[in-house]
Amino acid sequence: MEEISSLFLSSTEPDHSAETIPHPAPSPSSSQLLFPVFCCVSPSPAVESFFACNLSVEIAKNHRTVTIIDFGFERSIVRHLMGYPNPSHGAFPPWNTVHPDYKVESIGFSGLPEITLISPAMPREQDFPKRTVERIFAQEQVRKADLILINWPVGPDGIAALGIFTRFHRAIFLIDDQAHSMARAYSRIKRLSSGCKCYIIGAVFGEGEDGNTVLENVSKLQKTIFKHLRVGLELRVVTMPLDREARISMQSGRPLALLGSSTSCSARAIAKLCENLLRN
Amino acid sequence: MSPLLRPACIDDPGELAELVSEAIGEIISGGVLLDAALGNDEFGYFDLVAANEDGEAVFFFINFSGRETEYLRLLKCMRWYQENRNVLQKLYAGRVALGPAPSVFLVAPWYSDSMRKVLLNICESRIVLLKYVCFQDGKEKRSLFIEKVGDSSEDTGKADRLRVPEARSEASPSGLIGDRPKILPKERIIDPREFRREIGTDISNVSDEELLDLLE
Repeated sequence: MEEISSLFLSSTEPDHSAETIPHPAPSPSSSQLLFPVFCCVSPSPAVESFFACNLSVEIAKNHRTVTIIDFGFERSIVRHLMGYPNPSHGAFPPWNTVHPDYKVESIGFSGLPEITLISPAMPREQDFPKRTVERIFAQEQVRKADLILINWPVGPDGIAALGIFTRFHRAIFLIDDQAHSMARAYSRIKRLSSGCKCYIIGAVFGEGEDGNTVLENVSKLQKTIFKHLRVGLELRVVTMPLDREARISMQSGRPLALLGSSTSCSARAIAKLCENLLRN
Repeated sequence: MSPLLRPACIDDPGELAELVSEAIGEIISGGVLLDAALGNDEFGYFDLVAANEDGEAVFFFINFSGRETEYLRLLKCMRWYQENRNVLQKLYAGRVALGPAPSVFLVAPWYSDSMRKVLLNICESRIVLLKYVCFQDGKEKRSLFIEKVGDSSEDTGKADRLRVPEARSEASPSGLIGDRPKILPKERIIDPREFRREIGTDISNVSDEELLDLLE
């Protein structure tokens, strides 16, 4: 279970869903984005943020440009996990850009390309307007990024900017052993099915936990996707353990990907997932 | 001529349990007694364990005194059961299926209106309230008259909603328990509406059929 096991699976069943699921064609003017991440781990936003920021650091190590869009609203867990303090309102350093409804920050680590973090500035209680999503995706850092990680997609689910999300052609979902995360993942896969061709399902389980339950859930998810969605989808399954080093990293605000631990199976899983992404 | 029956008091809880156990076949159609006093004093215990004709466990909780504080023992042993169900299933493997919400039959001399309402809604299990009266004949032979005074599945449809029919045992009700084929545990019927309420986020684009595919 410590090693990433990639199962390359493709749907070969007849397309029964074509009549019931709308598949709007992607806008010709929009370019396809390389690799967004939709994290669906329940119940911990910290866990999905942990994987988002570690994956971004691992990708940045390979001299790629990374932008994270964190819908964590006022208090970004990603920022915290990157070792940056959450600034009080209006107290951003001058080199960061603060828009009325979102902010763009640069996160730097020695020897690595800067990672851009974009997060909405509005309180969680407010509706997330469609125009904000459009503005965020019009940002240069987003348009030119090699990798875009979208963390905690609660915001976009509640808005009507789904057109933007049809531009993604690969997506990652993290699920744990809860039926809720499986259902959320399926719901989002269905929303993205018009544009996405490839999904990576990360099966997350904690140290000492039995990973079989989450793998059973992944299996159910695969079965349902193949049964109800169109043919041609590619699914890969990776196991994502959360070991002791990962817990320490989450508490200390230091990305595990920078700790250089040779014993952490979480770090190895993230590194292998990164290799896998860059190879394809 | 019918024997003359007179109301009688039972002073010994053990005697009451024995009389109830003798009547199990009448209380539950095809019911068979399996065990007595399942549990312990600290965490509470069920007085009797029986299997119905489908091989499902039915627990009996006897409130000898009728005092309402006695139902605290019921709460304790319900929790104890939930925490130890897997172990208990091994104990009774092949004899009876222990579901997550087994039927519980309560036996007491009386129920107040307020307590009856509480008991019928106390948990997901089907709760059946049985009121007993003891009589004895001229030879002082005692017998119980048992009357059903409440059933949570009739009030709420709980049993029908939560369970699916299970494959019935091939063995006759009167056959030896040990001869019964292994019984698979009961499955829950997932209620998509309930699940959608629990999940708290929008999955409206997922049909009930897809949801059931995922969850079952």
